[in-house]
Amino acid sequence: MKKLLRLLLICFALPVMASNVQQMTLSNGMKVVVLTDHRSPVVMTQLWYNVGSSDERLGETGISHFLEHMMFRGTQAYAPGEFATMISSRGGEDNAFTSRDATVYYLFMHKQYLPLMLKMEADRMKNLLLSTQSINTERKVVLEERTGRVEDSPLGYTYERVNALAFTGNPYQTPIVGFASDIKQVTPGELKRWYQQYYVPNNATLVIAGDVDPQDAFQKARSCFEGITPQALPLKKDYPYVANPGRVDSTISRLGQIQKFVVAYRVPSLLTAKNKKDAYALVLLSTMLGGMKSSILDRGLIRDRGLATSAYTQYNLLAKYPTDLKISLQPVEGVDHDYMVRMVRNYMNNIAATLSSDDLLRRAKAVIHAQYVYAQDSLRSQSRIVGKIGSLGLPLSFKSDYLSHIDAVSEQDIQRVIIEYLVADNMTEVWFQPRSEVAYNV
Amino acid sequence: MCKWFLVLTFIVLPLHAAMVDHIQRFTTSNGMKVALIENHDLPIVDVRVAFHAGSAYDGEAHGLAYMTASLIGDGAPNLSANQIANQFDSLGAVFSSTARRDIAVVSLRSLSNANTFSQAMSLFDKSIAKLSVTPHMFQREVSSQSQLVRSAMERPMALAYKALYQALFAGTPYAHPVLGDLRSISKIGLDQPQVFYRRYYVAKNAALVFVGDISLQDAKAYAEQFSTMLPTGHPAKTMIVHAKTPAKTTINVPFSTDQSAVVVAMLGVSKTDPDRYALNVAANALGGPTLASMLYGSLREKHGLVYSVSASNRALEATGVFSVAASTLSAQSIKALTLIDSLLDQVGNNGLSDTQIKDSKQFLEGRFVLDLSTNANVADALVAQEAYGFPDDYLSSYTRKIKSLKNEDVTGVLRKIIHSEPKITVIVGKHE
Repeated sequence: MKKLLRLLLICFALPVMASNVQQMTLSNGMKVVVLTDHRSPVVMTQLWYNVGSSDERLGETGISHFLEHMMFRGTQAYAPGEFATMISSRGGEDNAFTSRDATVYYLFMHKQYLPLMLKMEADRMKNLLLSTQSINTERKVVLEERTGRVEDSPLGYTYERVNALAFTGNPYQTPIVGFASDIKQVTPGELKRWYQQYYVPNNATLVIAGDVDPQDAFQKARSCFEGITPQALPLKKDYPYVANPGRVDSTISRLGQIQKFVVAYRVPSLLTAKNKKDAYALVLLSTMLGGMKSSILDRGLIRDRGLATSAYTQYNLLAKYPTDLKISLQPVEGVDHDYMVRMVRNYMNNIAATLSSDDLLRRAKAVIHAQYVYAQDSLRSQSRIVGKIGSLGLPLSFKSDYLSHIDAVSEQDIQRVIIEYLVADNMTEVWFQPRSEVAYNV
Repeated sequence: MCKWFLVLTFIVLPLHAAMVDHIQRFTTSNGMKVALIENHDLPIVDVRVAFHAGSAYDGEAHGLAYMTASLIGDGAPNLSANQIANQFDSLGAVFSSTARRDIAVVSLRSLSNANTFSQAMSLFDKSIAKLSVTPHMFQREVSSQSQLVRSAMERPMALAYKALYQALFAGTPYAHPVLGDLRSISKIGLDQPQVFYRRYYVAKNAALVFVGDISLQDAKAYAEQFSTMLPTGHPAKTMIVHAKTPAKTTINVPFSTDQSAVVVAMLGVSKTDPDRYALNVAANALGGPTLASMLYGSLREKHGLVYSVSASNRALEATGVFSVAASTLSAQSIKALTLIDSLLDQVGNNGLSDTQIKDSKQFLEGRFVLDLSTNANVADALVAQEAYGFPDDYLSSYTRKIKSLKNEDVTGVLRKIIHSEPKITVIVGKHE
């Protein structure tokens, strides 16, 4: 009886995990995605503008991020500060983030406020003030943010250098927050132009997620946004995948306390891979290398050899442009730079062999399967996933097909991807060597 | 604004109204307290066990509690660290263990299907039930913990709070950082984690919770299996901490950095103090995580001095710390401090307006539902509540208690704190 009950419970759970997502496109080109989840009387809206640091050139770096800041500085209808008060005094959360490929605004409130949330997002899509005075004040805030994230952060600084070296000729070369000189010089005119060009309905995907009725949500979205006129978008350039022409090996000497070591391999993303299977293989490879407790690097470098105290990997499957597989290592104190670099290179040269002697691939698939289920617990995660899919122009079925693509990756696929991408010529290695200026006693 | 604000994990409001009234509690045969919230919407179970085994119990061996918690799951009888990692990953289960100031928490997240979950729990049991530390494991942990200490030395705000706690709680178990320091870590002996573990990782010093797709019957069985692998033991001593006024109330820590960390702090209230509700409302109005707060309005929106600034009460079991914290370019640190002090003076003299209090209350009430809309967050909050021995109706009464606060209570508690001694100012940065 208990088993039957359990089966029934699983059946009821399935609809939450299966097709609870619907999509439509408004007449002005704006995509609307509705994700239903009735577990809690809340709703999240996420508005994805298809513009980020990868659309920027030197001289205007950080402008997408700066504009994101300005979106909280008032519209014609809501005075500066009023937006924040309206949301927070109703127990809601409002925030945003800028990434390389998108700028995303999200609101998270009790479901009764959905009309207000949509009204406010539609308003700031069209009517942002962008006053010179508030731009100049916010400029200082953005510079503070950059200082905290980069100049004063040894790890942040290291990543900025890694990207500058690994992504030559690729729009991921520049930092999302922008360079200080560009932040200081961006003009109100430039911000206005960026806003007018990119903050248009045909460049946007709206996600409405939570305790909503899809038809009602679509209707509300239509009434708020369908009247906004679309604009022709600036031309987007193509950046096909190109491997590095040779290994780049560099050392940063800078104030800090601990060494760091980052290795980046240039690899294609799903959208830029000639063989889509390669991209899914890279997801698994990233997990096998450093994305789970029993990964090659966790086992080999941390537990067995005690050369590092942490190791993790990153690969962005859904990057718009060719991307990287990054390995970030925290070396143990006092380890010799040359020795560590040699050990890591040695490991990378031998992963193909390690693979076949261990059931890493099976475990990586188990981890990814479980993570997919765990992500259902978070409305934030679910919204981000469908927002990203919509923003990239991928079909909704990408989400439900994901696990079967993962499962289809074989050991041969992994071997192929290692041979093609994880080669010495395709490496960028950056070592951070700390210098101490002020003696601090602990 | 691209900052991501973290949730208040010690406050609980479950997924929906019905769940508040359905916390099931029982005790195992050897005295371990257990709480269960069933939620069968997703095939996930979150398990948390908290022990009163935080850094406050380090004694002279600063960092010992953290080290002991980290060693758990690194090895078990007949299972090496590599084998444990392999097995958890094969199940897709996520295991972690860490210590804070008062408590240590061991966590497990697993898929709920019977076969997977029973294997995950078996590993969970083995990882916690017996700690055997090899020299190799120990050395690895010493190395790792030392790197975490060094990493904190790169961050001005971490250094600021370290200096603050040392000054405010000197001579008490709250003075030293949870991680310890490089010298204290190097002095910990191989056998010490074992001794610490035997004293504090016992049934009567633990609170166990299950949240998710698990029945009461199964929870009882798993709880019994787990707890009887541990000795009965007895609870940790209740922590009592008396803060003193330090000799210096302005602390300058020279540090080579572009941005200084500025902290202004007073004694706050503890986790069980009835004034905590009122202080949360007041702190949120003053410097909560929204551009609408007073500190953001002044330091960021008006003057552009900061990217982030906050006012909060860090509630510990025995006491609390109320602090305002900001990071700003070093040349601006005096200006930022002046603005902070004048806002504190203003609130200390005039209190908060009715609108500010009303908005803040509504923010906190709404925020609970948002913060606790995931099983994982509910589990974290539930284990903290059980570990700290909050009343059974803490969950169901929280928003009611916030709603029922009178404006004079909110203003009163904040003014009392602002006018109290000591007031400590810490600046970490270039000495200008």
